[in-house]
Amino acid sequence: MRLTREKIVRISHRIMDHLVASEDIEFVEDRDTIRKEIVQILSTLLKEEEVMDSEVRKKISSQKREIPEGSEEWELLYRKYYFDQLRRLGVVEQHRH
Amino acid sequence: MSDLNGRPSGCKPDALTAELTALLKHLTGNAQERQIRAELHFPCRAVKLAFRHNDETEILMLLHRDYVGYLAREMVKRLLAAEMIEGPAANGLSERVRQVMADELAVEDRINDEVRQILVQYGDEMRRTGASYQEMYKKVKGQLARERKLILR
Repeated sequence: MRLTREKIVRISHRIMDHLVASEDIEFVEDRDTIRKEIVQILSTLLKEEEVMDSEVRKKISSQKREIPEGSEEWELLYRKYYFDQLRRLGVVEQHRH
Repeated sequence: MSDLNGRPSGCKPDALTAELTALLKHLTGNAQERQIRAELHFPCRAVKLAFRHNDETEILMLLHRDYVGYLAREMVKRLLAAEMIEGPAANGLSERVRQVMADELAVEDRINDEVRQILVQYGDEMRRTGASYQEMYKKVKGQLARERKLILR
């Protein structure tokens, strides 16, 4: 995963601080339960991103010709395939690149 | 006794020499202290060295901007659906959460910029003491992160 658990926990605390400071938000559950849920949601979504990343890498390595990681061509393909995956997820609009 | 790099025996392999450790202490600290020290030790020295910085991973964003937006939207959607929170404007809240996340994810980028600025200021001194840019970069970055209790990634 791109982020450590420590970083995810830090983000969850910052989001909670923001929610607590927001006058338009009401808490139904207690704050710690919500913060833990935020950690859970983030971890799940970041695992999905990790799968997406490895699929993109696999696609590049399955090309007929070997494309060394870090080369300009590799970076270009990575961006292209990554965006394809984002589009599939509905994260970015179809026409954007 | 010392090892091949001039370090006293018994030092960790990546330990800096005493002179470089002193320089590291000199480089970190708050901006005001650094400015004072710079004026005391390096008056009238305008260091304008361009270092080649080859650590490309340092300048990459941890997560794609659009993915951060997606994380924020999904999180707010799921918290509302699970009825853990109640709020009138899910879209507005998602955007605010995205901003909080983006700010925390940019901590490392901001530290990287700061370290580069510090090291450019002390280029001559580092060259004189034979300090490796990469090594000093790592050490200064680590020290700043520790001092400020930052979690970089």
